[in-house]
Amino acid sequence: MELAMEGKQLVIGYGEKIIIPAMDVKIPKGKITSIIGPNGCGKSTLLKALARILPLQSGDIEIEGVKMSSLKTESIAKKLALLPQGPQAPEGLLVEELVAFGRYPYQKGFGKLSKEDHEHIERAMKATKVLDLKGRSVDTLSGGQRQRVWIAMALAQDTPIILLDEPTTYLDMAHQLEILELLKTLNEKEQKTIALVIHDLNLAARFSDHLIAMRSGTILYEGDVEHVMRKQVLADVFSLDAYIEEDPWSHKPTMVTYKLLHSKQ
Amino acid sequence: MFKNVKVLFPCLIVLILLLLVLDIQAGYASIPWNELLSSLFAHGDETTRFLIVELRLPRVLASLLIGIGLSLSGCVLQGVSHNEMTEPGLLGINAGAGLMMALYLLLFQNQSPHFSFLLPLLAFAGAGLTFWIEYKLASNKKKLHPNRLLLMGVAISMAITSLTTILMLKMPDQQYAFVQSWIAGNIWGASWTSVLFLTVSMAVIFGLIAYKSRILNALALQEEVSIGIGVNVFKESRLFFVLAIILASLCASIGGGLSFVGLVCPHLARRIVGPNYKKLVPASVLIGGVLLLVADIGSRTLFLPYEMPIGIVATVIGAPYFLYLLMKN
Repeated sequence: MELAMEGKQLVIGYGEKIIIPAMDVKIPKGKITSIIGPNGCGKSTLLKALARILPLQSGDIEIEGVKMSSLKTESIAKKLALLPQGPQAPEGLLVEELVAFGRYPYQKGFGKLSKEDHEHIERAMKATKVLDLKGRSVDTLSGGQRQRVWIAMALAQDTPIILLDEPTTYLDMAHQLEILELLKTLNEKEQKTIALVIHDLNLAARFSDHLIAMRSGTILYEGDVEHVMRKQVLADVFSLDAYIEEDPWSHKPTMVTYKLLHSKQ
Repeated sequence: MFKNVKVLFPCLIVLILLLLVLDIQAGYASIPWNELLSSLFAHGDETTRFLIVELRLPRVLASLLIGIGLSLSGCVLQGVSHNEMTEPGLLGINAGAGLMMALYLLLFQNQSPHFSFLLPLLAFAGAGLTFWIEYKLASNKKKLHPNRLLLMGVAISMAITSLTTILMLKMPDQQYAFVQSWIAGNIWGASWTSVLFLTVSMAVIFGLIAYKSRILNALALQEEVSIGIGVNVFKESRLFFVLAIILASLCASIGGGLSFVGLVCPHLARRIVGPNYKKLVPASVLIGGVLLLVADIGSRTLFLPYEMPIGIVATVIGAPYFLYLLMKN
């Protein structure tokens, strides 16, 4: 398995408070990896550390085999794009202005956009179907449109790896699917490595190639969907008693219903 | 129509030129227009010429420059601190400058002949020192916490203002009045030397900020996004904080405790041209210039034969308009 990113002996936390005490983590190249786990298990923290938002307290992260600590933040931005959870744009910022921020690591000086920059911006807006919104102000868009615009920004960054922190939260079911279909297309057509934090297990199972299941700051299970989306795993990770069947359409395992373990119902 | 910067900027520049002329003409000894023109462009009456070239022109230009500087400073600070309420006064810049001056006056009772040279230096030192303390307290491990910096600024400037008040109580009346009017914001001791110094240093800082407006734009995004697109947030925001503080200190050294300008003008500029710093920087600068020129005209004509501190006039003009802007949303 070729790796896009690898974290070795990671210790991650906020000051005194350690969230992830010791972790080795692998993000396979060219695949969609979903990080799942209960609230507070450290999945967003892990993603932030992988995206160098949160400094490591110890350990190393390698990106395509190169130690991230040896790279300038600007060079990392050419390899890895991040979509944080619930991103906010300054009031009045236009869609095309926001997408153009993706070209930041390629610009110099005053930052006049080159022909190449314009091409990347337009391509990103086409792929995410936001081209006809380009003159709109970001804060006037609907939740689904806004999320697509942010993904367009990440795309304009032209990186082999994209990390997304809960990209489907606050969206209705159709818009959640729309975002995940978009990620799938990017993964298949442009061979992007995608890693995301997501709460909906069935969507995670349906759209991912690789799952990482976390609890209390450690990885309990990782591997392909069939290996992780199992009754025993969900019991260990979420304390859920889950009824799992094959999805007749996607042929991936899917959770038909569930209850809390030890509950009386 | 004014949303288009190609219309807005030339209009503002013309407005500034008009206000400049009006401002030179305004005041206790009002100058007839024909004399004004002849002394500016030809050899007119010697007294009028002295009044205009040596007294009024430096003061008028100083007002313009201070408006520009404070507005630019506020505009930068609001971006890097992610807070619309930020302005240089909030960080205790004026308070620090005021305390230094009060200390000097109290310790060296004499009016040293070099006072007019010393005052800017003192103000600058006081402002710089205040910011340095706040900065040290608000950053750790290569991370600057803008919110902590602002809270620190509020607390420290309150403490410093109280100290200054205590010092002022010990002053003779004349000194007390001087410090009082300085704190309210008064263009003091504007000479050609200080105008020239302000112009050169502010031009350099303006150039740097305008050149780096791409980075300023990226810093105004939330921190996770800024880092994600490759901004060295700690290094760059520190640079912008320092540039903004230098600007504000320069202004405080000649204009005293003007506070409102740095808050209102960038806000107004943002309402008109939007959040893109490539337009916002020039717009703030021009609007700041306009406001202080108007305030200067007001300060020298409204209460003849007395002169109001320009800071008070700027606030009286700015505050209702600011409220109106906030109410409208």
